[in-house]
Amino acid sequence: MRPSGILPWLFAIALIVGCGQTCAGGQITVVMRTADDTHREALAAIRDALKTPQPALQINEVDISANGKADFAEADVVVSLGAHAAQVVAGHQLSLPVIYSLLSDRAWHSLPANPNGRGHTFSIVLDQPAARQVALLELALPDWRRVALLAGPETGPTQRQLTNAARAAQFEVRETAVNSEHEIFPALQKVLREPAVLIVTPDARIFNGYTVQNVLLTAYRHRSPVLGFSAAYVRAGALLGLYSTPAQIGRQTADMILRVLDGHPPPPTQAPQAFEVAVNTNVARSLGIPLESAQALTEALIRQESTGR
Amino acid sequence: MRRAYHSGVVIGFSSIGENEKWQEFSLVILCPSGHHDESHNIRIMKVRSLLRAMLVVPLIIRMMPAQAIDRETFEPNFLGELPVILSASRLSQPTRDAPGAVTVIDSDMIRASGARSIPELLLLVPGFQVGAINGHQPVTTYHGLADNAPRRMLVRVDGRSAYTPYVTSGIEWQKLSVDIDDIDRIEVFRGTNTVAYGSQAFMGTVNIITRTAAETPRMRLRIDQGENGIRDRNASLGYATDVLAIRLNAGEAQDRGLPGLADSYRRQKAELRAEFQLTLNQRLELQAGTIRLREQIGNTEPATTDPVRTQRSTLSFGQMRWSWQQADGDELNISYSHQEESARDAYTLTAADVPLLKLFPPLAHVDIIYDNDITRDDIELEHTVNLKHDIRTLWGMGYREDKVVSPGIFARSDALSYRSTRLFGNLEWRITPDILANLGAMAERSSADDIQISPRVGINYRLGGGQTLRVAAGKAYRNPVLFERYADMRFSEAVTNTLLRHTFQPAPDIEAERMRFRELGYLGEFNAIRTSVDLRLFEERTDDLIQFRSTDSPLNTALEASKAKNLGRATVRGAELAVLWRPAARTWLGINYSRLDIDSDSDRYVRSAPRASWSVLAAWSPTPRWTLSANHHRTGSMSWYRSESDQLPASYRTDVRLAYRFQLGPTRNEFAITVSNAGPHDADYLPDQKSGPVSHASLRVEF
Repeated sequence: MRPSGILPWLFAIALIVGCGQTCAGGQITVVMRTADDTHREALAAIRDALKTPQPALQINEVDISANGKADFAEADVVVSLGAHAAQVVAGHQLSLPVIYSLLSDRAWHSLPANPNGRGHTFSIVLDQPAARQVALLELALPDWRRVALLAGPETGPTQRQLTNAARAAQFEVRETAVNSEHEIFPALQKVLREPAVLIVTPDARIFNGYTVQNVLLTAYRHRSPVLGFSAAYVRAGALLGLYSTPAQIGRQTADMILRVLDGHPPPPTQAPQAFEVAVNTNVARSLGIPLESAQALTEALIRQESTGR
Repeated sequence: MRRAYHSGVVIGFSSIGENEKWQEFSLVILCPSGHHDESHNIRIMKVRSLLRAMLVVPLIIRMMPAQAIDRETFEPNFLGELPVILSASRLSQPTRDAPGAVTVIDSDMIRASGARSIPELLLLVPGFQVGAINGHQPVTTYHGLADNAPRRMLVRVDGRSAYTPYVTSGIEWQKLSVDIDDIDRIEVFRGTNTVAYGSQAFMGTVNIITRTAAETPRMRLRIDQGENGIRDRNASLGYATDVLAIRLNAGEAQDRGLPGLADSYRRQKAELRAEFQLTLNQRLELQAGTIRLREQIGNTEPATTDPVRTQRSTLSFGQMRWSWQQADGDELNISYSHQEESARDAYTLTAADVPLLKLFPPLAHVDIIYDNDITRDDIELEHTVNLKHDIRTLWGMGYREDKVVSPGIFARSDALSYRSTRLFGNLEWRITPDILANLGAMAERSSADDIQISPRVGINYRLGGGQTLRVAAGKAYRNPVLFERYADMRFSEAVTNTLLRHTFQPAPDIEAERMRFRELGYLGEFNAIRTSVDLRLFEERTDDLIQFRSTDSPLNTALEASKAKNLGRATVRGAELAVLWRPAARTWLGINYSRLDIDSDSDRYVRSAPRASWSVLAAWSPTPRWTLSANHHRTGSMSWYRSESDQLPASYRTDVRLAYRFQLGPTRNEFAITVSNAGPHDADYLPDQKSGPVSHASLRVEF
């Protein structure tokens, strides 16, 4: 039986109007763990930042479990939040612009290559630039001229940048190789033989929830402060933390979305632009290290970066 | 003639006003032996309770949530949570903020000293006196005023009191199960600290802090072998995951004691420490340990009342500590410990030993029984609160109960109890960035004493350039221990039940000893030249010090029995200086000097501490593999509370150690040779009891 003549027309018009509205504002698909609070925080920041410049932009959130390529069909830009979502999205070999956000540099580099996406894939990694870490040490701990680093089997160019940046800033760098978790304790004994600032690097084979206790206690026994890469490290016992919040990364992601939509694509990889410094005042007090407040350090570091020093 | 003051308990409390003969007799009387079956049963009981404690472990593991770490992808956790590791209770107060003088002996210094036992390490602290009654009974005191059972100083191991002044000395060092390699640091608070720990910390506190289980290598072996029968073996295993860390340590130590004395010993011990990360901000620590001792004591001479025999004793403990890290660095801790101790020493004296017994019918004898069984329970709550940015408080309360059964010492078969309740608090107020005030108080009530309150006020003023000036003043007290109040030691001929000797009688009315103190301290931490300077000037006015005096026995007026009385009064004034230059962790040069002047109407107090003592501490690591270390101490003339003939001349002690570290396959190793007491043969307890150089080699293997 044939449908009545008017209905297909109405359906077609609705479709055109609907598409016209969304297509005019564009559509963003965000792939994330929808139950993850940090992902939600980043998404909220993306929505918030895009509300004013692109009020018509439609932002769809898709959980990583919804594993269908169809979810991306209508999208102008696909954003992934976190390493897991990045792998899911990368697996689809999409030919449209993709922004991998809220993931580590390591996760970004381990994504499969996408021949279809050449020139269309971007990332915002969580790793703080080496220069910023070194600048923070110089600001917060001017009396400390020795840094300690552990290099794992997969330690990549990021850590080499850190070593170089520290050496360039006249720090003495004590670095030793660690091949397994069991070697961490003797390695720390070695590099912290003389008190030094231990920089916890985002190499999860060395620094993870299994080893954090050993790392923080050993450093403390050696009267050595620790610079961590997350707020949790500071709560756990690192003296200093340098990190970006999910909201800060979200705002940066929104900024990147706008540039992609505008046809002014950014460089393929961005380090976090906004950041925070945290200090553990109890640890500072116990180690007898005078420290400025976290806010003062953050502001000073921002000021330093904005003046290009 | 070599005098035999070297053994047990009574001697400890014999102190004042008794003759030599009495001392010899009384000595005999207190220590353990025999009764193998019974001590065996006790041992089994201890092992069972340890096993029971360990059964809880799997249960707790089940309760713990696994923390989310993706070991498959090894994705760094930038945004995840981590447990609170360096919580308030694990962070030590910087010495510049402490309300008193604190000396820290860290693990490198402990290792470099070559010490096989902890009391030797106190030689590194200015103001301490260390002696050895025999090879297994060290005596330690701070600022003298001690007899051969010093009981005016507290030792704590991971927060658990090791003060057990029931039968022998206040601190039974040989019953500490902690392994010297597990010690992270020893914090010695020089000066009274009753504000923090109550009556036991009357003159000072030694806090032994061990490494956490997470910091233990997977496997560690240590072998010490040397002259004088030194034969120590120790093995330690460590295991850790993200939520659980366990350390198991077991060992044995023995040597032949001091030359000329029958004082060889053998000590076996095992200790378990487990830490559970229950949640991100809750931690549970369990510790259990057991120690078994066989110690030879007695006099080798014929017809002695103190025959050579073997004392057997055991001590077991279990301890749990739950800590909850709250926001802003606040922390709540609740700890509970239970300890069981027992000693077996009983023997019989006949007419061959005591000529007096010839006057009695045949088979007359005296049964001497020094057996004792002691239990202790201690529970404490402690809360650290950061009230404001510049005000930090610590408050808490605790309850302790000791039960002692020792018919031979207390002339009663039921348990004597000592219960004490304490409430304490300290407020640390940073008035300005340069001025820090510490205001603290402890109120303690024990079963037989009134409420005692000890307050302390301290002001630390930062002069700048790493220099701090400190003034502190306060009051302290020491409650009488059970022995002082209830000792009732009777020695009767067993067949006729005739009382031959009554050495101690109870003194239920004695009161607490008290002290008023004031001090001025200077601390210079010159980081640029890696040097610290610590100067303390002090005055400690003690009053009502408890002394034993011979008075008529209430049982038989023909006999005399010592009775504790609040008779003593002494004012200790002096200065302590510690200068340490430490250009590297394993290289240092330090000088300690202490000057003590004791003003008292009792000559024994005046002579109880050296007027001048000094030490030179040195270690040198020219390469990471080699460390050469040496400590040289000079202790001025003093005596451990005895008659003038027992006055020790000034003595010297030198310890030298050479260590070589090397790697062999996956193992990290250290081989060391130590020569203790390398200098001339000096005496540290009795003038004619000298111990010569003893060398030993030690090998440590870590994996």
